[in-house]
Amino acid sequence: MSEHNSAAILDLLDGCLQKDRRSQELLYKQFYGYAMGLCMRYTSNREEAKEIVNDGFFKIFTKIESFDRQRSFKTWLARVMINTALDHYRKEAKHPMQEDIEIANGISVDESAISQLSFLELIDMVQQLPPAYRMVFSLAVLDGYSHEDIANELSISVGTSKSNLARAREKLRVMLSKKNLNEYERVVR
Amino acid sequence: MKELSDDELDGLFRKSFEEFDPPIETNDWNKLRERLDSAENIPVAGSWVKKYWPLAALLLIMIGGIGVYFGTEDGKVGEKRDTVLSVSDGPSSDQSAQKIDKPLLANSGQVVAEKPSSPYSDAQSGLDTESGDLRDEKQVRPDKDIRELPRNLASVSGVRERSNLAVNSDRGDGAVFLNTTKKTNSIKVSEEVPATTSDRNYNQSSGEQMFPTGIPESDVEEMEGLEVEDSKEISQFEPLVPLGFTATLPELPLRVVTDAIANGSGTDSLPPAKTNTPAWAIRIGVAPDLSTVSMQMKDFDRPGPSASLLVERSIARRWFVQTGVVRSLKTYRAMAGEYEWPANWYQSQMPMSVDGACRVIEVPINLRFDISQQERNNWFVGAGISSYKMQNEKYTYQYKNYDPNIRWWKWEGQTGWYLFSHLNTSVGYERRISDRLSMVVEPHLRVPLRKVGFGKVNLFTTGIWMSVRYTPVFRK
Repeated sequence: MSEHNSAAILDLLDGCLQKDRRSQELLYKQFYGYAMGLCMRYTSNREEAKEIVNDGFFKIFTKIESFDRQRSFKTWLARVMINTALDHYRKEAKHPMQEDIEIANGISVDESAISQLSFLELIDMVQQLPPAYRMVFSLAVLDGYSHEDIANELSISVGTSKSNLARAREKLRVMLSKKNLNEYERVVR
Repeated sequence: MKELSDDELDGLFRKSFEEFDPPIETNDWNKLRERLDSAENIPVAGSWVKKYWPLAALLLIMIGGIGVYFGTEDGKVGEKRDTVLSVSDGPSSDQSAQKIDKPLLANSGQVVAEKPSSPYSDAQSGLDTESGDLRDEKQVRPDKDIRELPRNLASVSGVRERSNLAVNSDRGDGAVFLNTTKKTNSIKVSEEVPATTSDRNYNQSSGEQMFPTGIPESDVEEMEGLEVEDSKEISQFEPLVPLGFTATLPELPLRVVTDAIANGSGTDSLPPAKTNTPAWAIRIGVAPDLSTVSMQMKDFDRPGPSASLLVERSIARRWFVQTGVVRSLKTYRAMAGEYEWPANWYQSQMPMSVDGACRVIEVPINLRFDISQQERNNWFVGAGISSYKMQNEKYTYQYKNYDPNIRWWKWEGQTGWYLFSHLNTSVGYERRISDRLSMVVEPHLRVPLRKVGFGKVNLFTTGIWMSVRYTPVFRK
């Protein structure tokens, strides 16, 4: 038995190898939330994320024989989902790599207010980022890609990757600041 | 208030995504499953059933309604047709008796003109035979003694005045008659007329006299040696064949007629009206098997295949008994509460639902009633009862949340026979494509009378049989 995968997961994977629809359904439901969490980082809305999740699972079920059972299925799934999201990003119309952003010089954020933000609001902020910034931010910050890997995946230079990451952070700070301000005004009133 | 560092900002968003665990939507999986099915070239017939079932139900109701409507209409037509048949062939009424007797009498060299009161006495009433036997006995009665013939046919008065007429009619030959019949309004048969001569002017099948149009009565008399006392009587015979038919019509072999009569195919045993209901039939059919445990269309899973081999036996003109074997794969989903969980299966989490895939052998015993029998088209309804044998059962248990402690993921086995477990109803249309073959389309519904299977479910099944019906002909 693989140290990364439980016996139940391996059973399901065996069923998936046999194209057993029931096993596929169980595996899908088991990892749906995790996959959605991954794909939401790379999309601007939930529907788009669902589309990528299903594309990713379709690849998994049709290429399940290429999975090495000695490795973690969860890691493999994450890799497949991210690659599918990148494919989706590449297929989309050319995104402007640079956008005008509000300069967030000297923006300060109230930490106590941040703690009150729900994770859904934070996810929403990432989804509001321009696609180019969102991709770099998600790859670099959330999924641990290096700038070299990002540059390679997105066909951009390392400098552009670093620049986009910096701009993504600045934009998120602006959003957090606005959120704090709105919350403050709401409380004061 | 302070500005967040990059690491703090990254950590904040990283944590938010780790906490994110959206609930699954069933429709998402269904979309993926359909995509997988199409990629594996598995037809997703269930999807169109789910989508178009109201239309299909409406169509079914319309077909059934039309069938019932025309079936009723056909019944009326059938009655008329039967009446016609009885007039021309049937022995029940006086008139029909007259019609039936004619060919026999014709073959025997007698001409019937008057309406009789019974098949035999009527024949006599139309004859005037002063000289008795008209035929050579050796020719007419080669192998049977006259004493064997029935003598239970009295005349209208109840007195057996012409007992030997039965001999005549039965043998298809001349008879010895008592001369009690009026001579008026009748056609005399001459003693000299040979039997074969008179046969020429009768339609061999209907027995009606066929004097050609336009032939003078005198000629007719000459030809047939008949004495016409009432010319109006002759005019009652409608010409059934064109002029000249008598010259070309081959002589009816007397021997054939007499033999046929002697064999019991005479007056009393004329073939009945053709009903197009052969005794036996074999049906081979296939159908999609749509099974559910809740009888809600949305719960129908993908249809499984089913095939049938049925034997039908006609028990009355419109009634058939039907039995045989049906083998089907029934796929369905039972939600919690719709199936029974084994009492000795202990675990913390119970399944949310059970997916069943059961191979079933079904033995139905049905009654079929033809509501409309036409030459090429039949509409029918059927009802009966079925016994199921659960030949192979596969159940997969579906849980809401994954839990490594779950022990029961699936079960496979068989639970055997369930006698008289289902009520069958159907409505069908049969289209004849040849003398022995016909195509049958038959929507059906199986309603559970008892629970079946390992999970003890009320299993409803519907589908549409598409069958080929073969009517064998057995040689004696």
